[in-house]
Amino acid sequence: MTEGLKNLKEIAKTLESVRRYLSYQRIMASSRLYAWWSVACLVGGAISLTIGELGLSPRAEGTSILLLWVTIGTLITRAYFSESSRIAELARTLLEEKTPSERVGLTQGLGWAVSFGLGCSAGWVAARAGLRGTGPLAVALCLALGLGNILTWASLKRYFERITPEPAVVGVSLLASLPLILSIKGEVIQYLALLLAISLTYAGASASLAFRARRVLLGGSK
Amino acid sequence: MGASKSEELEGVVREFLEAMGEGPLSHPSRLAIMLILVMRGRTTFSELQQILGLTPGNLGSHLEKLEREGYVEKFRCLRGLRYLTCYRSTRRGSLALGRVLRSASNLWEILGAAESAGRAPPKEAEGAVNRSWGSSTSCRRL
Repeated sequence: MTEGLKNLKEIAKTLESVRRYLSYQRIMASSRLYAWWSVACLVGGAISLTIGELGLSPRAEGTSILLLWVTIGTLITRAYFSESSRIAELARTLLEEKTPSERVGLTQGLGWAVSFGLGCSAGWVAARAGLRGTGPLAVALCLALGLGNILTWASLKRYFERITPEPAVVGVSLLASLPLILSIKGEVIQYLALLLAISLTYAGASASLAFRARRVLLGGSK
Repeated sequence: MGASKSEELEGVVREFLEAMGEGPLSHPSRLAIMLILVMRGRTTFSELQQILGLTPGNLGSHLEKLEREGYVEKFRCLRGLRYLTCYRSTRRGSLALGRVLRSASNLWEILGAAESAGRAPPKEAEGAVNRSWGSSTSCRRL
């Protein structure tokens, strides 16, 4: 083998390792995003249940729970933007130049807006139809998060050849768990079941993505 | 192995040499700077100096060249209680590095497959390197 080819091989090998490491970082950023949601759901649920047990006036209890979820929402949104800007930065290096990244982002944003709109409307309709307790909240959250994840997967599928199935799995699991949650009697248990369903689904997706990232780093897949 | 396979291999080698040889990334230090900026995100001047072991003057001139070409951007960032000079890769820089990494990946697919099978690289690879050697500006650096 000539010296030139040997050097070329070494450089190609080193750069391929770098590319694998960047892919690993990109998938791990997605995994962290799901993990954030999972932990937030569990912690928020536990604190809001504790607030419920404190014996506060209905007005104080409502305000405290609202403030809690607004704080968690703000923290999660901040983490989301930090992780998604890192994902976008890495995607610029790893994906084909012709990838319309702005259009992908816009499609996903639109998908989430439509899902939340549909989820909230369905929750409102469910409340008007006589569903009580956590029912309307479960309908709104499961539909919004389920449809949002499925639409995210669908928009990625449209633009990229190789995509991870996790968003679709999360979406279908959340939609499938809705009848189960609604069939549970007792408001507190129903609320717990809703939080656990979201948290466990997201934790599963996070773990699956972390394993996938590890496989990419070790050279098992591209 | 047919002529088309040989041509394909030559194309992959040429694409890699061209991606490496064109523009500011033809210099190993500048390629390393871009790799660090993409891997770490924003990085201070002193962190870059520490990682690469370059003198401030040398590092400064490479960063200046990358900045002039629009591959990196300089900005002030808060680290602890101090404002420091930070650098990050621009969209143009990330795309250029992406071209290098993708072409390296394509090349490694051919050369690495031969290595993992315990074979010598295909004969065409040797020929392709020799033929592309003179036509690419990066060849002298390899």
